[in-house]
Amino acid sequence: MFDFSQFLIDVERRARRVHGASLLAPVLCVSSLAALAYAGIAVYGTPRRPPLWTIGLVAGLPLLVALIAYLAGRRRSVDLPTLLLRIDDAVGADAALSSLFEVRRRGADSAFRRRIESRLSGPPPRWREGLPVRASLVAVTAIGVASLLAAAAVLMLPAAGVGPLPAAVSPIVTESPSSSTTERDRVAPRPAAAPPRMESDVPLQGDDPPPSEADRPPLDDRGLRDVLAELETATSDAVLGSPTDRSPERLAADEQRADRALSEFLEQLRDRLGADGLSEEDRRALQEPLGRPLPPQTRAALNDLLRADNPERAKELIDRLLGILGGTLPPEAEALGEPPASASSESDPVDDATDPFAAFETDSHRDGEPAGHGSSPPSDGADATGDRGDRADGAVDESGGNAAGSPTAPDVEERPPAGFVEEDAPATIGPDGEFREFLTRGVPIETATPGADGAIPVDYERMESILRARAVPPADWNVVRDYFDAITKGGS
Amino acid sequence: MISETDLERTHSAFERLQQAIASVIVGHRATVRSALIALLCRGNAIFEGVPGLGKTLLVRTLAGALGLRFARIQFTPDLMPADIIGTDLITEENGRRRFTFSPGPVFANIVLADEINRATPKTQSALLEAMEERTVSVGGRTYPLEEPYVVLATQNPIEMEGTYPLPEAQIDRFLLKANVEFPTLDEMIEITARNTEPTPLRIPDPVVTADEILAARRAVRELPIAAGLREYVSRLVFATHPNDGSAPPRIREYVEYGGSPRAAIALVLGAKAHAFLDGASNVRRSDISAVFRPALNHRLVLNFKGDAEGVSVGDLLDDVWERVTPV
Repeated sequence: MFDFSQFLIDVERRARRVHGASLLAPVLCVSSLAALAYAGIAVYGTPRRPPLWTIGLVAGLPLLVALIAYLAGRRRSVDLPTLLLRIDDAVGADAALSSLFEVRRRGADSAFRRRIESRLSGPPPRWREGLPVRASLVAVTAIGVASLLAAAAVLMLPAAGVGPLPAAVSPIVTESPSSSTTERDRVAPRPAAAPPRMESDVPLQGDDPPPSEADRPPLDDRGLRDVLAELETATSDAVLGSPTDRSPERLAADEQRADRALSEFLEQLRDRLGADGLSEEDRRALQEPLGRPLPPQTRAALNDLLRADNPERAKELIDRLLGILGGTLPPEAEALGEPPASASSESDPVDDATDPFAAFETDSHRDGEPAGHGSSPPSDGADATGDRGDRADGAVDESGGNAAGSPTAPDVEERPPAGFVEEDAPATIGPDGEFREFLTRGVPIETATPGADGAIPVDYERMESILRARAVPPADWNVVRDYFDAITKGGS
Repeated sequence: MISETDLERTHSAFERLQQAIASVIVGHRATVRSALIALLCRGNAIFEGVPGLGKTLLVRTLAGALGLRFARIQFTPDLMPADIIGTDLITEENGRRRFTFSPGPVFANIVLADEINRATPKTQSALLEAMEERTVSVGGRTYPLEEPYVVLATQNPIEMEGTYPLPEAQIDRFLLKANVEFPTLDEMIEITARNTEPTPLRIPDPVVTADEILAARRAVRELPIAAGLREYVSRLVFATHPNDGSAPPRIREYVEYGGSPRAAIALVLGAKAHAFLDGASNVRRSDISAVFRPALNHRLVLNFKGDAEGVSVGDLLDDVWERVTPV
């Protein structure tokens, strides 16, 4: 006996499953593809490896969404007459099932109903073919599952370029020059007593922004060790292809600065070398240059100096080293950081890139416009004064420009006196914070001899003339005066 | 509800009827089937075909096999309505004169309206009431027609001069329109053999009673049709309308008006009757297919472009049939 009611229940169940699958397949496919895209972005698009819980999320969320879609699909209404007619067509039942359903629905006990029931001895064996799961649904589901597995694999398997960099590399790449210095100081602490003054005349100028005044040690406290450390960092960056990507010109300039600092240190060492010869601190300071690439001759002389056992021999070796270093150093004008006269008309890519005034200077010179004043071409040596008389915002500094840029003006600022140090030092003026438009051309203290109290006399008149030429507002002169008072009287 | 016995009885009766007709009529199975369907559905049918194909013989044979009263009306341009439905005549009885209704040929069970398109529309419309309501109104009185009642009309598709095509309202009242096809070679040989032998062709004796016909009509009404197929029929009819979204392109291009709800009724009823004649217990898609064209081909009104280009309504219906699927 054909249990038509049970057959209807079976048909409805299958129809609900098919409805659920028809909604599940596209939802699973789309959500899995989205998960795969997310996994790809999370793994290859960001430097950090995604956290472990995202694997569960990426794998679980599409499944959850697909499950919800399946349940929602199952809740769709089932049109039994249509489904039965589809089964009739599939099994060739000549609409018997759907007609029987119609007769039973009407509750009629006619001869036709009995005839149909007698014809249908049981459910058609292949009735499920009337409610097939379409091949496209299977394909879409397969794509979804494959995408889901791929997403999980992308997140779980180690991928190239993912994960932390080698320990020896990452600190150099990620640390700023100032932090590198700090780290090195932590490893090799500086001696408690202040080492001999080995200040660098010219600070390192890299592509990285200079450390703030608070982070950066005072210029006077920065010794050869710091200069060399910065140079090492710069060299490492260049070798490792750090983002700063220093140019060969920049590296050569840094080498020169380091040589220059070493020369000055050696000169001071020679002047104060007593009968005891080299102290332990001096030896430590001299060992540090050996850590960087040096010409063989320089390295050999430096090693000989470290092995010198008496002061005379040490002085002799110092002279020899100075001679070697002097042969490699550029002329005095360059050593003072002052570009040659010809260089002012030829663009220096390094300085152009780092000196905020350089590009302006070079452009002005290329255009044939007068530097600073704009009325006549700058005379030889008027580059720095005249150009830097222009304000960074483009305004023309009348006093500076006239004083230096005009060919008729006396050449008082044309070239800084010997011993002056050019320094691109940010100055804090007023409440607005840091200003970088002023350039302290020289500090008239380097050649001075400290007094009995250790203080170094400062030529304030000359400093004022410089400040006036730089158009520093008189109200701010005291700031400059306080600064020099502090550094010449042992302050910081 | 029809009993199993009645169902058996009606089935056997109509099997006998089909055999009796087949003993006279060679071929024309679809035409005969259409006539029987019209009879079973309490409808009317119109046969279209060139002269000499046996349309009149078919109707006469059917009437004879059914044992019913048969009337033949030859439609001509001068035929008047009273010639069909009858008229009141003055009669004298016992010295008193009075009007007495003299019924026309429409008062029969099987009415053959031969070449119906040759009469004027006024006369054609005289059949409307008889065909639809099974009544005739004359002189303020309405006379019922005796069941079973069926009007079987013929029309000639050629010699259209002097004809009056049936208006849409009247032609829609025909349940089916069957095209009487030209016989095949074998059928032609058989036809000539039967009609030229010394033994004349004999109209069969009645093999079905009126009660059996009425019982068969009840059985046809009870015959189940799946809801899906009922919906399918409706969609088929909708697709014959040029403004419907499911209409094939050629329907949109050439059809002015599609099938009416009466067309859908005719399709369902015709399918049921077709299934009954096949001895089936329910309507099948093949039953719908069998009556699709007969039920619809006279209900599609072509537009001017369709008429001008001589578009075949049958071809348009084939487009509809191919485009609309059951599920």
